[in-house]
Amino acid sequence: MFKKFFKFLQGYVIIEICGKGAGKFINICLRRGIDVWNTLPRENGIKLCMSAADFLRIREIASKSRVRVKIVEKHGLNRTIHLYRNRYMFAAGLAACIVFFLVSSQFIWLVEINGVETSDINSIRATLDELGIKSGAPKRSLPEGYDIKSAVINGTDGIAWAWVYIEGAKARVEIYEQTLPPNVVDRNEPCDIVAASNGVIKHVVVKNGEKVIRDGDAVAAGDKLVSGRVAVYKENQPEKYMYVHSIAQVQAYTTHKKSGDYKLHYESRIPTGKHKSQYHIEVFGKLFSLPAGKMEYENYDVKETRKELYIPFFGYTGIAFGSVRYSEVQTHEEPVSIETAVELAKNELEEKIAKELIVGSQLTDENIEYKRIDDETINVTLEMNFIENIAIEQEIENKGEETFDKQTN
Amino acid sequence: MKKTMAEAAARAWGVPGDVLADLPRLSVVGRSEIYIENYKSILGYTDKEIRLSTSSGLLRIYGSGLTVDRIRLCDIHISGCFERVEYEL
Repeated sequence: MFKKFFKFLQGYVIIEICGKGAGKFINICLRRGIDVWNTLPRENGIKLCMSAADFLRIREIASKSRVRVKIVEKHGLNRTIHLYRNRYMFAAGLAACIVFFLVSSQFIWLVEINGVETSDINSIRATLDELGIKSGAPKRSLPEGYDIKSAVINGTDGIAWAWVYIEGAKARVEIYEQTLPPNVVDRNEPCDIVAASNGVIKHVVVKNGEKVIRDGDAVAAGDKLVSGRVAVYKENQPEKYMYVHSIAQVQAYTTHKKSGDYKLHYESRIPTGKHKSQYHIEVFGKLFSLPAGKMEYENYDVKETRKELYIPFFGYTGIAFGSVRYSEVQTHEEPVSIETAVELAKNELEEKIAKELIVGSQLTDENIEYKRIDDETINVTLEMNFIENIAIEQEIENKGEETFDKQTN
Repeated sequence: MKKTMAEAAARAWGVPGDVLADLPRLSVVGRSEIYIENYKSILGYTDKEIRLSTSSGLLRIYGSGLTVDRIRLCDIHISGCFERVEYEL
């Protein structure tokens, strides 16, 4: 690549050497330090390339080796300039293009924010706007990197680090969000333990608080399992209570049931091979759509692409090309067997149940049933049994006046 | 005679002939590439035959679509589809 480029700068000629002494011609050239390349045999000689400067030295060699030399092509920067010397409009257009890119490179035309998942992107964008990092902003007026970092971190919650990279006409803002630590349980705050879901109690281990259920009891979601209100008895004194932060593990047999109607056919989308594309050009943030024909496809898939124009040593130019490709598809309804439909339904229902489960649940049993609704539809019911820790903390309501003390273990 | 002695010395001392006796070294890659070092001069060049002068005699390369990819004073790189390579004393 570079070799070709330097040869172009230097200028070279493609010549044809005719005569029986073509081999001798090459030998003498090489001995005199004349570099030749791209040698190709021809009917009565050889075609080869040599630099324009070396070409001026071959007259003597040609007469010595008794060959005729004919220039086939001339290449090089000088030659190109010579060719275009009278094309003023072309030169003016080229100059205007260079000036245009030089001027446009002094501005930011696109702000790209990466790495935002949970934080408020509008808040980050507003902060960047305030700092002057927006489309059309001159690069020289941008604040220092550390100032931008501080403003973005302070302006939006949950951001650990931020930095702006200027790539040509694009400002790429990289954001790293904070990973928040788990909430610290305040063990000074009294609480009850209640059931997270319906179930039958298997086993209860109470570390703090007073158990109000027994193994084998059926409980509903929200029922109190362990009370934070603990009675304190003292001889010859009326019964009093203290409130504690309940801690317990309550293993229970739980059942999760989901059902749904499913069709006994599967819709497949087969591409017909017909495509239609709509193109658009984005110039400094403004979108210009090129006219496209009428969309005649009934069913189609859409694929969007965007390519930014980059220039070496300059970066993003502020110009991007995009296309929306519509691929026509034919939809077919293919019948599926009941077994396959039930299997597909099971996967979907399992996914729904998994969203309701508490971390650490153990599957003990599952049962799937289906009944036919009509010729095309079945109703599938999936029942899954688990052993789960259904204990969740709940604030104690209506604390009585008879508080004896507030303690913790 | 001088060459023969140099060749004999190279053989006796276990030194490669191309180093001591300036013999040509041919590297053939399959049927499509030949790299020749220590050749003397190019005598003929067509797309079916390339003739080179070497210290070991005339070297002929026969084939089809032969082209000289790179040529320098001390080495030459030839590509194409080779049929045979032979020496003519």
